[in-house]
Amino acid sequence: MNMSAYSSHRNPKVTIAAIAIAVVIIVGAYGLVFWQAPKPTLTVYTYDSFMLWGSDPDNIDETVFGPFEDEYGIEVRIERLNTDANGIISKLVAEQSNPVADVVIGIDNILILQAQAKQVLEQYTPSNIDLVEHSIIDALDPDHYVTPFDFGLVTLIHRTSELNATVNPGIENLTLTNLVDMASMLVTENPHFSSPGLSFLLSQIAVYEKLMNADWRDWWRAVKDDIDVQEGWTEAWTKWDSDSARKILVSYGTDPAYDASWTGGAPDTAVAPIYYDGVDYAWMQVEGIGLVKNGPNPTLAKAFIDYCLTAAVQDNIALNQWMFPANTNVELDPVFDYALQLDDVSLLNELLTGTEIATNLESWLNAYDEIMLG
Amino acid sequence: MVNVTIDGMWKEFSDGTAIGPIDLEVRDGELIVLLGPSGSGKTTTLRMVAGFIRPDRGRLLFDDVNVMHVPPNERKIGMVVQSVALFPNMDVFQNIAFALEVREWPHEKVVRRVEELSDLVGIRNLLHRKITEISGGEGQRVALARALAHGPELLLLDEPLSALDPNLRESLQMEIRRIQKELRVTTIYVTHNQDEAFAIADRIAVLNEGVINQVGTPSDLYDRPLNRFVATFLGRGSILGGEVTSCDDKGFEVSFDGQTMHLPGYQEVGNIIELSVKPEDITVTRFGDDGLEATVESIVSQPGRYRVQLKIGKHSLHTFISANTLPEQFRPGERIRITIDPMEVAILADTSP
Amino acid sequence: MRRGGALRSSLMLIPFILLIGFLVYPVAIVLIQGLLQPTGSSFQEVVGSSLTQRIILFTVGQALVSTMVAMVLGVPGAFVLTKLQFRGKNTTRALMTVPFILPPIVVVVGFLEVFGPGGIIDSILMALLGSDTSMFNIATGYIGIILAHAFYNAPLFILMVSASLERLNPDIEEMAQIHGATFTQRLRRIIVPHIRISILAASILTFLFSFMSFPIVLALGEGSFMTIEVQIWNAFRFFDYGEAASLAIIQLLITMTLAYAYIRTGVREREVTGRTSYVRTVNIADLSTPTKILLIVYSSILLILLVGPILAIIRSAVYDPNTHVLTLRGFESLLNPGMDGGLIPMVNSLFYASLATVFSVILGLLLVFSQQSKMRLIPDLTSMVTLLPLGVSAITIAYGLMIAIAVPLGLSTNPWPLIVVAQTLIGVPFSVRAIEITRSKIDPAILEQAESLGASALHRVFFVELPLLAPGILVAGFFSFAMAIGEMSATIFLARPENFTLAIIIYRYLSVRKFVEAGAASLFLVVMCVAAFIIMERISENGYGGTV
Repeated sequence: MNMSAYSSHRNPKVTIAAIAIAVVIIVGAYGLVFWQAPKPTLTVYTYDSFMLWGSDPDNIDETVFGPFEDEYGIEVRIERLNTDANGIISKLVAEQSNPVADVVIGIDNILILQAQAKQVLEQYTPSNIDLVEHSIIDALDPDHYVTPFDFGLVTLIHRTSELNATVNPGIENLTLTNLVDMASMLVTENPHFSSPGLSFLLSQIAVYEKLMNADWRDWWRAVKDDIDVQEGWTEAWTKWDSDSARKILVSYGTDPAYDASWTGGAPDTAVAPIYYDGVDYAWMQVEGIGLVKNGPNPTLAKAFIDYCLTAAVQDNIALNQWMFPANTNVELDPVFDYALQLDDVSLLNELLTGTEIATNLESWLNAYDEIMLG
Repeated sequence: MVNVTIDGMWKEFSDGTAIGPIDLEVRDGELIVLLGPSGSGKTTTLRMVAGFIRPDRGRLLFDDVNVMHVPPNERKIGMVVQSVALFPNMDVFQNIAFALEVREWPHEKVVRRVEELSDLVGIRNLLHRKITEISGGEGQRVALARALAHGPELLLLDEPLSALDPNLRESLQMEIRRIQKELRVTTIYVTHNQDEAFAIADRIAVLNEGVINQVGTPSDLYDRPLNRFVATFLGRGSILGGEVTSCDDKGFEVSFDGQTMHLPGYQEVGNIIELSVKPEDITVTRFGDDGLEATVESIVSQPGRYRVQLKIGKHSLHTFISANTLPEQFRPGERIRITIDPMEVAILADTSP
Repeated sequence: MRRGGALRSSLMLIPFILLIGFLVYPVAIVLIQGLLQPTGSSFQEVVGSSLTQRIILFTVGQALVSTMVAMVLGVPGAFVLTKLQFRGKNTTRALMTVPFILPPIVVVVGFLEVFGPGGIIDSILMALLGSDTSMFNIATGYIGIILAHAFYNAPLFILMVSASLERLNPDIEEMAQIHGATFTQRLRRIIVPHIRISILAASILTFLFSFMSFPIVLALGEGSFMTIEVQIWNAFRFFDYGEAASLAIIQLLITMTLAYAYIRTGVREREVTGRTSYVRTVNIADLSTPTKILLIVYSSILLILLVGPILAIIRSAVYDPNTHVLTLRGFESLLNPGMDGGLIPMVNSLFYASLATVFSVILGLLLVFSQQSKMRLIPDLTSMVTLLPLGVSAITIAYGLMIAIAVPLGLSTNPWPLIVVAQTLIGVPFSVRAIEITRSKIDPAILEQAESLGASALHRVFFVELPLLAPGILVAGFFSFAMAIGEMSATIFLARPENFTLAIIIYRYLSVRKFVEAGAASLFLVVMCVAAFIIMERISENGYGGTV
């Protein structure tokens, strides 16, 4: 009988060795293929959608930061973390003992009030700080932990085709009291997870407490059953866009400009700033750029921050980020005429001081939770 | 091969039941049967010898070497169990070759050995079959070949044939016996079946409630049971108890329930003794004055014969009568006479129940 | 016994060491540092707050309700899948596994598109009734949360319970029937006791899943609902590590108490198994009309719930809601090296998930072996440890891995090994369960045979035990793969751009409203999962498909 007709067992040690070798080879191959040459790198942490709203998001980093890379012979890694600015600070806190990032972009004027944010940042005043107006610097951080990068106005938006003065007279000169009646049309963002959401909460608090001398919580109690609070801006926008019942969204004053650039004509999207006693109000959100404390390349990082204030970067903000550039000398695209302008509104930021926000934020959020979960 | 000495082996389980102490000597090349009813501790004893159960006390010697701390895979044993437990992921060849492959034999040697063994147990034509494609009897042959492949010094068989039908069981008994003698491998064979034990054993160890009651050749045990359990379990004997009333050089006289019987041998007068009487040593007659008077309790028909249940006073006996002895003459309740062959009566040494 | 024993126990130690090193230690660091932090809330403050109490109540309540709904929806499905003859049974099974791999964010989108206001069902109703206002919405609020949890977990019940039903000896049931037992009697006396353990096992997994739910509650809850996990994330984001740690401890206490109760109620007790020679099946044609109607109603509900969101995902892969056109742009962007590197996320996903699968199967095997240990406490301890990855907040694990391992070891610049570790850990509870079930079916006499024939532990494991465990290992591999490839929480926290996986890419696309691209990536995940399942079924001849 033919010997090979019978199958025999392999030695298990051989099998184990074979599996181990296969794993090592695959891991090695992966490591080799994805190994990156150690080129000096400047790492920038920012939030997930940073500068991705333009016509060519795939090449935006090259367009905007390429010249800086060429000038210094280094690579700029824009790391868009899968989170917002609060999450970035969490990550920086976690990495505090061994920082990876050199620069962080996206810390706004509310977040910088948190002690932890200052704890992971190094104060730095760029040499070309004069490119930014004083009022914006002061609105963000007079202590220069962060330098303004861009800013925007948080306000309410709607579509004129769905909601206009003819059908809903309340939409013109929209007061918070009107908004109570329209709460079932309103989508906003969770103040815990979203900066426009938090901005809206603070706006509402400012109007009630400082202008109306009323208890701000009354408003939330009145709307809590009807309002739709989404996790973040994207979710809220999606809801507003897809659900015909939700016609009003807490968003940015530049949305009509974005709409206009998409459709190429006059936009359907319109803003409805909060109105009180003859004045339109909005909350200004200023996003800053900061130097990471003990980052690997402090000199480069400082040069990078300076570079970010120049026209090379600031020119690109309007159409890719849909915010106003912090460098107000920059010429804006005509579509920005449709946006809510700084001059159109009175800023609610001026009613709430930084110290006031820093001291009360936690209790405000708790009170908010108490009402919303009740 | 090997001489196995079980010395005071004892194991207590968490439920309070205990096995042992077991003392048993298995001689080189011998086939010893552990016989007992289910639950008597046969399998546990076997598994202690195999090393799957660690005894609490005692020694286990293979040729004077204590193997108590040797793991099963180093004890040089082969084992066949009732469930066969063939490796379902391998074919017949691989099953038999298993013990050789783990010993890293060269492939040609493995093939030669497996073919030799498959000839021995008569399954050469099955080598390429899957385990699911063979019958129960074939499975046992494969299991036996597998257990013998590496030339074990001790073969342990745990009810290997109990799941098979009687005809197949008998022919396989003969074959196991033949192979065992041919290979001269020391063997412990566990069964609850007396016929099987008698057919196959050099010696039998009768186990009851975790203790070995008697060890001996089949005829030893049959003719000279030491106690009630061995007598009833092995010879299906009946027990008569009585008092020795007289004794002389021709023998002694024992009396029970007002009747007496003469037996050879010596007994102290006044002793209370127990006798084991096997059914085939009882002769039944309707007439005459010989022997003892008994009452017919019941008659049950069996192939070619009748089983007759009798009563002498408070003692029960049974015997068989062949079908042509006109059983209709006997009816339950009828008084008859019986004679018992005095030479075949066994006096039980151990009268404790 | 001594040498094999030493080898065995040192092998047994590996999973414990890994779980302690990569799970217990990082989490402990976060908890200890959080509680010692002077600035954050103290444990007493957190426990005493009425908000926390309300959150705990809601978390437990919704998890209970979700578990019950999933059970009610799933258990009949198990009967249908086991007892009814119909074509496409295997396809049905393959589909059941899809929810496991879908990142919650994708499910949310699919859910809203089918069940939400203005969604598919709503549009149909509006068209039918000629209404121009939205009239149907079961995607949001409490109902939405519960349904989404049911979407994830009803398949778990179906697969686990049907696997158990298949092992119910048909003879027993037939005997009962012959002896005049009515269906309800058979159900109560024979069937329920038989599947009790699998129901309990599915319930515990479902409860833990819903208890830990985070993105679903946030997205579908419309801001009115919060689980403990959401609040932990809140606390981390506002740097109140004290509150985060306190909440994580509360969470851990609840989940581990539950896990302990689960183990104590005898889940490990052996199921009475018949030889699965055949399962008595029924042909649809043989059913009575009322039963048929009931069956059709039930199947339709289940079909809409499970298949609806999946179909919505397929549609979203080719339909751009911004421009309202059909497009293949999504698939192009998956292949083109763009912002997120084209094929790299796909390669990463496959690479991490494959490695995680290998490791989680190996860990699963070792844990199952140590569960068989005769030593006291070891089996219970093992079972607890096995459930640990499901019982600890994913955010806490991710944060812990970051501060306790990645940063000190300098892995934060290249964290891919940690991503593999995190993905391995979440697969372990599933892989252990799958292997455990197969292991309990192996006749111990077979393993003893191997030993008596002179096999060393190594030989026995390789020649006998592993081949016999193969079906379970395949199932374990499949679920580990599915869990790993869909893992978000830890991966998202640890990954740098070169480590992005498909799940992360989906998240990123959605965050910049690239719905088609997100849809295409989701569809790719679904296809990979179904393919993996079919491969597994093919390899495993025995059709152990549902053995979760």
